[in-house]
Amino acid sequence: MNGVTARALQSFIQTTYGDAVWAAVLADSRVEVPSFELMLNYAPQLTERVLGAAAKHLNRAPDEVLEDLGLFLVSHADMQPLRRLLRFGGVDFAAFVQSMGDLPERARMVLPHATMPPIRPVDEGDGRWAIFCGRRPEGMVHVIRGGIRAMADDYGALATVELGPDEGPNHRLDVTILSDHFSEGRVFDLAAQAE
Amino acid sequence: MMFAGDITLDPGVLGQLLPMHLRTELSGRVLSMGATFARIAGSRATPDMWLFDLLACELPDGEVEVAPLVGAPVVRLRFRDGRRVGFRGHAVALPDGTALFDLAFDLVDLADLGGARLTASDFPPTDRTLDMLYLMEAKSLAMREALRLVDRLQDARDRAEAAALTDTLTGLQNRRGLDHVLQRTSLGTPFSICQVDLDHFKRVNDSYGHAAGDAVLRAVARRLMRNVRTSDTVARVGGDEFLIILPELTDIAVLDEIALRIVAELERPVVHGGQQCRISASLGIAVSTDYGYPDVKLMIADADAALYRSKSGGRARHTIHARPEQAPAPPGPPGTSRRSARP
Repeated sequence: MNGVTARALQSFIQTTYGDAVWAAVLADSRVEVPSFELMLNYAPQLTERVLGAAAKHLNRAPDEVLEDLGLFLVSHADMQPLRRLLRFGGVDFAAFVQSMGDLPERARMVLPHATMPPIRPVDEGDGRWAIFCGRRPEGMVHVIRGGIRAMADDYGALATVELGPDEGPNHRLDVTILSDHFSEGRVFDLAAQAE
Repeated sequence: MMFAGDITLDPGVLGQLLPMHLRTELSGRVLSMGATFARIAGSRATPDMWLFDLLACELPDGEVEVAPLVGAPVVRLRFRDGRRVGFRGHAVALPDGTALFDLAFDLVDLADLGGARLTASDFPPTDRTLDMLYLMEAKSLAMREALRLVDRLQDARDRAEAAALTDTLTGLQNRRGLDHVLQRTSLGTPFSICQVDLDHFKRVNDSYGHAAGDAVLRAVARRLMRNVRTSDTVARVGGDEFLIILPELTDIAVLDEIALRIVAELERPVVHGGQQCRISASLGIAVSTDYGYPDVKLMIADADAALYRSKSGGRARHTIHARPEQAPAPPGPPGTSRRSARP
């Protein structure tokens, strides 16, 4: 596990459920560090332990926790900078989905140790997209699913994102864009200062 | 518009291809501009205006000719009015006798797109301005996070250092380490305390620099350790102050011998960078059996007072603090022990 995932889980749990829950999760997962660092690397087993403990404490399935993490990373006020970076992907939601194949490389440009699975969006016509997503790192497909849903809201699009049957070495997400301009969405100016 | 060969480009197509272009007559009159450049120019651009009324060029003063710009490797232009947004680009001559400028933001104006409310659709896919913006923003985020990490690590290091019991320079116990040892020292068993203060250390620092000073301090630490028993504790309690705890050693003759040996050892020059650094030491000793109930604080104060007598007596010597009931002994020659009354 790298610090990106660990730090994201920590921010999500602390911000959404409070420091006490995070402390309990840490204690349960027998993790010796008080706080994860974005820039550091940690042993791979740590994420699974933290995630397992978090799921237990929140009484949710680990996949659901990861999907909520994806939602949080894009939609929470504290995560504005990340959401801004994602908005550089395209002028509307469809363009964003189309550009998702660039995400792993974009992430690596910023944090060389960031690990995202390969992503390949395929336009199936009529606003339907199949997004193929590698299996490693495990669970990332759920984070991405939550993230796509949050980005649809951000763009003001109405879309569904369902986990389809796996295809070969990939997970499959089925994105259906029902309306490109369902709501106002959130403002995005290219220049950060203007916002 | 005719290009070499037989390609005809509609101005609308040209605008699509180069949304940051300007087309002018060689006289300088502006004929058309791309939609993105027009959005950046805003009210600064008016129909039929002159290029050099809109933009200033880094040319010799008074130069208002388009011709010298055509074919130049780089053309740098800047708005004359409002915010002086800068551009760099190049100009080519078209077969119809006009000049075509293609422009891009100067780096300094790129971060906020010159204050213009542009969107992704203002840039063609070949233009990597958006990627630049993404990277600039992402880089500053990553840098901020990295600097925060450095801050936190620095904090942690400071805290660890404050909590440490060892002096990092000499490897001896520091004052905190000494406090720990003193807490563990059983007041039931007799012991002695020896304060050591270096003589002329400041001179070494001043003459040969801090590196030499550090080398001397390390040598002092080694020599002190060599001249006491392993059960004794040597601590560095100040810049050039040391304190030795000698458990179960109260024999004045032995203490004298140890003190003389220490002074002699510390007077051996330390060679650093080809320089012979010479110091000496003044010592003050207090012995627990001189006290009805050994109060460590009082003993240290008394050892200090004895040390002060060594200093005022001419340095390079030691003094053993006298029992309160004893009269001070007559002073001996330098380097020998003498007894001092509590001040």
